[in-house]
Amino acid sequence: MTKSAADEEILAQEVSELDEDALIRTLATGRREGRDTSQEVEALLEVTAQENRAALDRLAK
Amino acid sequence: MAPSNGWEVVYLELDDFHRAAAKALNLDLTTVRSITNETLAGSALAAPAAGFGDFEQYPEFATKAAVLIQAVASNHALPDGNKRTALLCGALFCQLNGFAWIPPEADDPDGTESAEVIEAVSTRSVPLGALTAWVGDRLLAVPPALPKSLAQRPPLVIYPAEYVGDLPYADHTVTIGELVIHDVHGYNPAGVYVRRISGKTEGISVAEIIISAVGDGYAQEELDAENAEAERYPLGVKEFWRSRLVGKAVYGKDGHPMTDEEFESDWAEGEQS
Repeated sequence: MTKSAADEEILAQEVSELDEDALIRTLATGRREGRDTSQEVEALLEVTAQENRAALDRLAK
Repeated sequence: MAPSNGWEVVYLELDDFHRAAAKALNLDLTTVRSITNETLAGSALAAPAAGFGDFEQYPEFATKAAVLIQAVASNHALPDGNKRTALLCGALFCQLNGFAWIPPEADDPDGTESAEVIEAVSTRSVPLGALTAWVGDRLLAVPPALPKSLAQRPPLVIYPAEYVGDLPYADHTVTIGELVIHDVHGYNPAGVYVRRISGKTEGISVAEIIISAVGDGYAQEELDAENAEAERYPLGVKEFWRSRLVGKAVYGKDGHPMTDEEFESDWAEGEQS
């Protein structure tokens, strides 16, 4: 079985999206249940900052 | 658009604002707290919940997110970095309510679109309706978690799309993830043919898997027979596949049945390639 680089990239992206989805679910549920969600907030802000790095850098100029 | 999970909308708190600002400005939380005008920040965070009694001024979720971004960007609760904080607060507000924030394609590679929109929003030169539409395009509902019974199962083997090859089996048994097929007889190794129904990478949700356990050429024969049937279809090949896929094939991340528009789009893309 051969797996192209594109296939690997797609799979890695899907896994990363699954992680982000899980974080969002944990945050949304935790906040409604009154739990401390600061870790989820920090993690999601980090992900969002990375995904929007170029836009944030432009806005900083 | 209501929150994806049907829950009541949850709004950002001052601590969320501080953390977003700390991330945007690359500062520690203590410093950010000391430079934040909490009255202005609190006012911005409360803006999407505006209303009176049972009357909500912004009942649509995307509008609430747009109002929040606009308020944080233009209220100047921080001496610097309000626009960056607005972008992060907008995304966090959506995530808190079950949506992922998808940056626009035009942001690649230099963040142009998001930066220009937020820049214009900070001077209130973008109408709220236009900003709401832009925000709506950023939202992707996060699918609900798998039931525990499914989530605890070992992961299925995922074969690359459009793979054709051998699937060896021992003792007349084929195993794909948790699926175990016993009493398989025929020529060893079996042939396996996997193809994706959708041509778009983001649309891969269902693969058609044909396992040929009684002859290596069987899977290809199946496909050839299907293509021959399509050729004979009175309304043509395209209509044959439309009848097979629209409303039946699972499509997109949320697994909805493929729509006619999605079929048309995929078909046009396939003809171009």
